[in-house]
Amino acid sequence: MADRDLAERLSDHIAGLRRYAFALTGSRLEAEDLVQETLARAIAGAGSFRRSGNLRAWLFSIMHNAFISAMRRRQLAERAQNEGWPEPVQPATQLTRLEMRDVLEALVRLPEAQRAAISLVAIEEFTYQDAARIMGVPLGTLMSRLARGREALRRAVDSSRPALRAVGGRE
Amino acid sequence: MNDRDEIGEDELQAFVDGRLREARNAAVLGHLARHPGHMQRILAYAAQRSELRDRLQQIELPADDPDTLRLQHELAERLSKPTYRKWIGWAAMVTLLLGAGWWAHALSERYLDSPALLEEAAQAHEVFGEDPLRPVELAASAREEMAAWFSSRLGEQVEIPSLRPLGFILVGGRLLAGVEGAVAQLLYENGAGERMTLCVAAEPAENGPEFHLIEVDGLTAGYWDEGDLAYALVGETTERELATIATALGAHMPAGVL
Repeated sequence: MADRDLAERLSDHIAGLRRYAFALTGSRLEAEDLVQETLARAIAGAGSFRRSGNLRAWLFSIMHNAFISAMRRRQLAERAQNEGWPEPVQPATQLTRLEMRDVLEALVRLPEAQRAAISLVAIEEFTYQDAARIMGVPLGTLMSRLARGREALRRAVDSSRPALRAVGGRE
Repeated sequence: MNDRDEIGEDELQAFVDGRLREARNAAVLGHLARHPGHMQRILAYAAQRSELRDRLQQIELPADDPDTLRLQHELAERLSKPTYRKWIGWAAMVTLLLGAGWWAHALSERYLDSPALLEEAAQAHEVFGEDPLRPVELAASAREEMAAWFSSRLGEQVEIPSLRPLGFILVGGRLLAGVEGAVAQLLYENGAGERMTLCVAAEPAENGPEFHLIEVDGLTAGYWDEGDLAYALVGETTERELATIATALGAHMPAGVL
């Protein structure tokens, strides 16, 4: 008999986790897998969670870790098989159903660290401190990832809209 | 220009996110008014922020996957048992902790503030450093080619250091995909066949030139920054030897490391 309040909060948090998972993976299918992996890990670690703790931040940090370790495993496996020269380094995820040149498409093409920073801060509205804690990095690192990610996103979206750029001179 | 006019990038970001301290609002607005280039950029970020949120709202992410719902209920059950630790008993507790070990471990390591590069270097060392057949993509003979390749992928000038005076000979290198972008891995080996991995990445200097010594999964490891490059060194060696090599590579040795 889980208490109702907790169950409701958990539902809300999972909606957020699913959004974050989608921003990280760029695919609905992979996002749902990541949500499930996160919940399974949370169940295993439930004993270590303090009732007074921040449940949402706790779940997001579990998801972040699960994503990072899955990504590393995949990269290392690919590397180990890879004969000859490596492919250019770029996010492996592809958005299939989204329109090209979309801001979301551009987000998914950013390096993982920048993508995570933007998602946690701008979409999930975590404080900078919580976002840094979730990603396991110092505050300064979070801020620079945020700044670099936003600038990369701006350039990506800008360059896909040449018509808007022709007007006016540079500052 | 007085001190109050010094608006850093962090404050501009905080302005975009509505997280700027009230008292700084006027100063940032004044700064933006005086710097139309910054103004344009910040407006673009703000537009990007709301566009992203809108787009994500439009994506349909169904919440009815039966497996997810089952896990969700299970987690709610676990979390809502206040006396969980008490009645579960010691034996069960131990099992639980073992199960939870992965994440307690992952978190404690991350909270030590060791950079992702260190973990990547340790993993790369475990996977490739021990590989007798194909430990590297570019052999040591291609040193110049390697330096050029790494430099172009990292976007910073990367040199391939010689550790010959310390008894370690370059085996070769490979390029890895790290969380922050490309990571150059260099593998060295001494006369006894012991191997050492040096990873280099272009990251903002957050850690400083001081050497941080850490043990990762039974390996001795350390990291430091120099200029725009971050370094991580990993090997099955003594702390003293690792610190010596790090010093030779340019790390600053703080008092008391050894």
